[in-house]
Amino acid sequence: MQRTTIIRKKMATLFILLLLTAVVGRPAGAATVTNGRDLLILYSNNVHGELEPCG
Amino acid sequence: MGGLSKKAYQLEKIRRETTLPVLTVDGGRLLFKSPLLAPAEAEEAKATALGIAEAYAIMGYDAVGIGANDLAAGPEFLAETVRRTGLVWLSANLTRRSTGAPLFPGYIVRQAGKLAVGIIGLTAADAASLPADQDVVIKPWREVLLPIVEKLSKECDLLILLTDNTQTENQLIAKEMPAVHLLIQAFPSGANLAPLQAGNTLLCQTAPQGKYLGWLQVDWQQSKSWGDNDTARRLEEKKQELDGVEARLGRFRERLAVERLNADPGYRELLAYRQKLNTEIQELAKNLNRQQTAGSAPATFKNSFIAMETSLPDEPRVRAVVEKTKQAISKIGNRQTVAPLPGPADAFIGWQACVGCHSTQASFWEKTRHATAYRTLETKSQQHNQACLPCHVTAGPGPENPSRPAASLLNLSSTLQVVGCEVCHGPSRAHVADPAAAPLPTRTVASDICQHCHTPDHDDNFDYAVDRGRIACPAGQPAGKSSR
Repeated sequence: MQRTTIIRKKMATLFILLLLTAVVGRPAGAATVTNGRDLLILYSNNVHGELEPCG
Repeated sequence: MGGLSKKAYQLEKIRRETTLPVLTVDGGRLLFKSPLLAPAEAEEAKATALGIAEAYAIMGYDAVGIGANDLAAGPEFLAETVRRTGLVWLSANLTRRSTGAPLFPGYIVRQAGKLAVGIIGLTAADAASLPADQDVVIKPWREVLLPIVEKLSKECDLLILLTDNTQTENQLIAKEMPAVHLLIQAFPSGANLAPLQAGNTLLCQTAPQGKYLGWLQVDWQQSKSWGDNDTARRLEEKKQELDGVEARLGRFRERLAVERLNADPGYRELLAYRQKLNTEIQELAKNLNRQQTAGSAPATFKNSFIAMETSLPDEPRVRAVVEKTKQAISKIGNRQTVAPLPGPADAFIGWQACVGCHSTQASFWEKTRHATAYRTLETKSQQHNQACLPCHVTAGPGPENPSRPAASLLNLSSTLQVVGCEVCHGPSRAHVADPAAAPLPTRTVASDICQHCHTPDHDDNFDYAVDRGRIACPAGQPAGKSSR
């Protein structure tokens, strides 16, 4: 019984810690830039476009 | 080149092969060729536009800017494409005239890996593109853009603007909105543009007509500013140099026995140089890491353009949309009541009438691709496509009548369903009736006649000086005339 209570208390502490990390670590509205993150942007220009070439 | 099913194939292949998060965007003006639709062309143009929107939705575009031409069938039609396809159209400045309320979302925020990316749409203020009777207005960008950019700057790591404004206008936007990091422009310029840095904004554009796909790999940094990262570049150079040194050391080892290697001055010199390079590389890597941790490293990019070659496979779902749309266009073309050719339409007589007197030239012409131009449309079920027809028949718009509606070409007689003699030499009914009284209208074909169809959009390899020589009829007197 005592052991179960200890486990429960530990789990509750862990939950609170996780919650705090989520809230304090990333304040609302703040940008999340860390270093060197790559991104691929594919862009097109279909001006005067068509479904496919005529012939 | 070009074709939506080829583009879909390339997009899918790139997404499958990369480990990076991918965003796919288009600057707009993709549905219609002009800002206003002629009534006879409207139904077919709308069917094509719906097919394009459906294909874009299947291709998984994250967002598309609303360009001025995209409003040619009215904002309701554009809203209809959203309902039917789910495509994300953006415009921050397309609003109700009466209330000032936006008609479409002005921006969206997409999470790409660890980056929150804000994407804004901006429509070029082209008054001609809006029907006067509609409750719609395109506001100047200065009236709408700043608050959106300020808001998104707080929420996002990277800001992208999609617009069909001119490059000059876009450079002004870049100057006044340095928080816009990337500007994707859609404008009918003839070529791919290497990304152009204007202040802290990178201006990107591919050639029109969907012939290319722009591929931009961004290494975004906390500094949020573009620059040439000298440390990263030098590190790369030193690494390449080290590869070369290792290769030379390998050749030494192949050539000399082990006991002679260490005595060789050249080998020892190279070993010392390798040691020096390794130290420099470690130092540069440390510096780069320090810059990145401190947030002072500039963001960098690599850009390339991928051609949509006709030899590429088709993506089946988009192929099916293209086929379905072509069938819809054919149905429209078949039941359309075709107005007679306006103006000097009956001035065209057809190529068979020329053969009697000009058999040498006719035999030559029959072997050219002009003689099969209409057949190529039939092969691809495009013979009812009003965007294609004018350049595949006799009697299409030409210097003598540049504004002839394409719908009037839908049911031409078979003798005109070909790029015949009169496309180059002019309408010749009068000449056939009385050659002495009515000389051939155009004996020497000037470049403007060819360039009516062989435009950079349609034939980017066309060279008048070379190609005219390949197509010019052989000399020869008409039958029945003496050469004396």
